[in-house]
Amino acid sequence: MVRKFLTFVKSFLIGDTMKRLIPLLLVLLLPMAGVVEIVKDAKISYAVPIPPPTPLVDFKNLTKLVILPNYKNLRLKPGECKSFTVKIKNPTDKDVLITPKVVIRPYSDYVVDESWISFDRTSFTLKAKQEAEITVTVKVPSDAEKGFYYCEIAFTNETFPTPTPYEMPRYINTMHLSVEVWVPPSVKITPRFISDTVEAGKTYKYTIKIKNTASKTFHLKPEYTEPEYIGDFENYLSKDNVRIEAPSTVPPNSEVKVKVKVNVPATAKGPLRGTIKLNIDDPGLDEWMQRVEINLNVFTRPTEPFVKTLKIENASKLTIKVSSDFMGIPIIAGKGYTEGDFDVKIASPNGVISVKPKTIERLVVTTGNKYLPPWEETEGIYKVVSVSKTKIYTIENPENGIWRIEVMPKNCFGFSIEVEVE
Amino acid sequence: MRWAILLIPLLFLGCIQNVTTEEKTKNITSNSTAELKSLILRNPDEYLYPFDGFSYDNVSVKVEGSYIYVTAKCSELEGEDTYLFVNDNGTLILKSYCLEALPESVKLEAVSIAMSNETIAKNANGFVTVRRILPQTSAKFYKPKELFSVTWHGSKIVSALVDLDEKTVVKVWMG
Repeated sequence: MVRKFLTFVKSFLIGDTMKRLIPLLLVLLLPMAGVVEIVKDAKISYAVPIPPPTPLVDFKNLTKLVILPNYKNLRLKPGECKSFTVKIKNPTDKDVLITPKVVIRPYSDYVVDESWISFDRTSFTLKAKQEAEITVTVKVPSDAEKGFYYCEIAFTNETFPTPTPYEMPRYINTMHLSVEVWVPPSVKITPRFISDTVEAGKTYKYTIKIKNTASKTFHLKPEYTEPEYIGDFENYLSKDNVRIEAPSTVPPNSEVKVKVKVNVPATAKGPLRGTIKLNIDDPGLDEWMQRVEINLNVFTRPTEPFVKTLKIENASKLTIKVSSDFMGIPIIAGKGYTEGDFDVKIASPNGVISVKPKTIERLVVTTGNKYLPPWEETEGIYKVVSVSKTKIYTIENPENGIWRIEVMPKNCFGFSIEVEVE
Repeated sequence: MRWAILLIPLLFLGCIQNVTTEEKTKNITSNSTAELKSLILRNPDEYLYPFDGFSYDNVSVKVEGSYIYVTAKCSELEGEDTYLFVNDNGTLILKSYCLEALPESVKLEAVSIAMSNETIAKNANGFVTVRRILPQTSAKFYKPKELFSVTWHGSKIVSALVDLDEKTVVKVWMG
């Protein structure tokens, strides 16, 4: 009995009975749900069989050619002209009429104008299993604006069948063309990267040179901006800490200086970043090209020296080695490396003693290129990757008692102390 | 596979020129490494690649077996260029090089272009080196033209291959 009931429910839910009952249920239930108006206007037909969907496009009958390349990117200045060749292969068994034309998608911001592009062959028949070449010439007008322009080139008139007639035709045999129109900059900026090791609480001055190589005047309006990308543990210079002085124009064929004064806050630590946007109205300079990145590394000099004490009992020799490590101090290649330095004071139980240290400079040199990019082919060539200075103080027959070693770093972030008692 | 079969006869016909090999080798009649050394010392600009517009005025050559180490300096430029050649039966092959003799303005411009790349800007720390990359090497990564490698040696090693003419970063590498 239960089994018969379950079979009935199952057939009711998935069988034709349900299909017939749905419109009836709608008529009964929708007025109760407050949608009477809609139901009244609706035309309800009963038990209309839904035909199986038919494919909208018969892809088998499309004439698909091989277009090589199917993407091309050109970088041209206004007024420049460049040609490239497109190979069209017809792998089908029928002859195809080739009629190249520019297709513009209206949703693109910058579109290649039809007048920019010309073809050496405008209409010809490409026979089955044959191939042909078309030379496409792109000429950018001299008044074109900078930017990335885009279009498609369709080589046949055949389009994908679409279900709705108002859609834009989608051509089957196309290639994509991207044209970057650029303008060479007339203004040169140096440096575009300010890198320095600074001390908290001090003021630093930097100069940016702006050279105008053109015969017209450009305007500039430098402003300091806080960095766009900040890591979790990174700090940045706030606007209050950076003062910029600059003229408002760069006269033709001349050079002006932008003076930057950075007050490193007393509380600053670690790397400090920021950006100066010069806002020069040179059309050749993109926004990113007129940025000067500031990358400072704050070195906070301790006010007191580091102190190490040790007890000497009947020793014949005391050796103290203090070593620096320059890692972390940014340097620019070509200026040579910078070894760290420090002041060392050694006090015996009877007071400060004067010991002339032996100095050792330690270089870490690599010969391979394991830790270098693949384009630096430096295999077998020596490269200094780090340098440190070690000062060795030797005291013969040191007095018994408490000795005190004081180390004050000068231009290094850290040091090591090694004490040897014999 | 079919392409490979097609390429083999083309190579023999000389239809395809290997830019890298062509620029890296100098055919010299002598087989003696010592003679090669004196040739380089006599005509450094013929065998070496000083920065455009400059000439070396201090060249030293050391020979070790078939290897020839050359260090070259230009009084007007900071830094030093180092070359390692191999004498391969009379053919001088440039095995590796490290070219750091550059004008300061070029270094700074290369660094600033490198810093315009987001990946570089986010990861650059530590000290930075700017090295000239010769066309034969650049061809493998971009185009056969002189480029600049700007590398930061910090907690991470990050490098940008910079095209100064186009003012673009053409490749980025993170170690």
